[in-house]
Amino acid sequence: METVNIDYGWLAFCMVLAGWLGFELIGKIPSQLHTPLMSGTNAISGITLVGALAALSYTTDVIAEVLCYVAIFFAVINVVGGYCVTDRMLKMFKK
Amino acid sequence: MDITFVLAAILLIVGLKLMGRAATARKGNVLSGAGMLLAVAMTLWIFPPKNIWVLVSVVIFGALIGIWTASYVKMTAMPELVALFNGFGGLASLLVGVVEGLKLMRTSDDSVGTGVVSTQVAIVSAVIIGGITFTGSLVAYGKLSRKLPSGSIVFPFQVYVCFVLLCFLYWSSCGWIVSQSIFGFDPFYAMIAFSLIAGILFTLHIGGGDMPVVIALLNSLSGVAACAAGLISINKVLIVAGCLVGTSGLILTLIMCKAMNRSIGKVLLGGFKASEIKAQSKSSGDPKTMTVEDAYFPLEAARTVAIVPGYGLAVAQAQHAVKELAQKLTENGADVFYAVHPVAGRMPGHMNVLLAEADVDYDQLTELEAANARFPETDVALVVGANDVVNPAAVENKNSPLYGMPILEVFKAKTVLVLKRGQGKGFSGLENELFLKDNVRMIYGDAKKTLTQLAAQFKGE
Repeated sequence: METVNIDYGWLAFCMVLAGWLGFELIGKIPSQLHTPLMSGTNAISGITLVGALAALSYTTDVIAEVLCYVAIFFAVINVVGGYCVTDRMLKMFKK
Repeated sequence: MDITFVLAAILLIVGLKLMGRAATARKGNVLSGAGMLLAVAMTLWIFPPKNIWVLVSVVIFGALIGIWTASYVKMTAMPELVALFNGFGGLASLLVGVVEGLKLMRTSDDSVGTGVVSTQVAIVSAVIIGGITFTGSLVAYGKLSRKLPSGSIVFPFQVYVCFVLLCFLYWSSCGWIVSQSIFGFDPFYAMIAFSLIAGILFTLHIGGGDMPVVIALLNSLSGVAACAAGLISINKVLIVAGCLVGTSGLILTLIMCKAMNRSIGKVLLGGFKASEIKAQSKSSGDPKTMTVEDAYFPLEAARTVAIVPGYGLAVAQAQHAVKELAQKLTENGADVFYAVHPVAGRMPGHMNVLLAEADVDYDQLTELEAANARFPETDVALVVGANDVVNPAAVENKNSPLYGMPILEVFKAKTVLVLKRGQGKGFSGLENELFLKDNVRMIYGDAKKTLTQLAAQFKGE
């Protein structure tokens, strides 16, 4: 992976937009949904799994590889567990 | 292939949007999960793993643990579960940072250019924020699940220790970027250790009542950590999702602080100061008590009954008993509604989850403002284990630290019955002036038992 020609201005622009979107989306949410929302966004933050998977493919030594697997393991618990428990809560709301 | 990542990001964003309304929330969660799956699948396609079977077994093992935990956890234990999962996410970001750092140290002995420095800054951010999120969430988990003492843990010179630690953290991270060793130690490993200690130190002194705010803040931080991990290798979907969680977590933290009448600074510094507690008005007299048998009469005669569930209900796991009593009251001809405070339960919105689990009709749940409009015409307000959220000091006593916090004005009801475990105080550690009012009667004891006994009296008729 080459990290030479990165347009940092463009990157900053994307980050500001994504961040602003987060503010806008959550700002008006009714308080009854706060708990499911917290566990839902928590599951999304497990997206770091993607970073761990990418890092795994270009590891060269055993230590880094093991660390990657550990990262993947915990990120998967975070993602799968987070989505499942959020779904369990929201399922009850629907009834 | 970039277009797939854009699609994944759109799914995550639309999913989050749909989660903002009760009717569409479940669909939103599924959509966001689909976005995640797409991002993972695409990553595996671009970066094919060398040993697919090891990866598959690790993923399946993790997924099974996640599914098992999510399926069997009690709804009352939700706050500690979110804290634990959040810690795992932080750990993953930390490890990604470490792996990338190790790789960088092995490959670039000579080439120090801007590209490398920016990558190093991203690695430092991922390690530090991930580390703080990891151990901070574990402390929050420990406090919420009572594996650690839930109160504020303080030791002498704590502020100075924290400050020194911050200096070390800054020093080691800068040291690593300019590649200098500190007293012969590689600053990279020192930085990992310092960030892990920092997470513990920054949460240890915060009391159990403020933990929900801390979790929300750590949730926001785990998003920032993921974003930092994305910046290391310029992974766009990681950056966008990380930013999204980072700011949405932050705004959620602020909303919660407002509902609890706390400032984020006060929460992080830990608890009300002792002097503030003394400043409140002296209480006179003792609360008037009532037996379960006597409580039957006002309830039986009531036309309108408000049920105000609080933290104590969650602790006593009395949500099903409440529902049973409410049913009896309805059969008796009373109009029953639940007045739910935004921060009732063990975390904001938690009470809605607990009542939904007990199959309480969605239409019976009344939010703060609507409930306050109804209290003057309410015959009996039944307060089940709520304390600070019904403390009239918030509207009457300008000296109270609670002053200004939106509360459920139950004292306006004709009769108020308070079910309480004992004579203890609420999270804020304040006396509740409500309990001394003329129209208020206390029923001490386990909320679940009291509720069951009350319901049984209706049965006996």
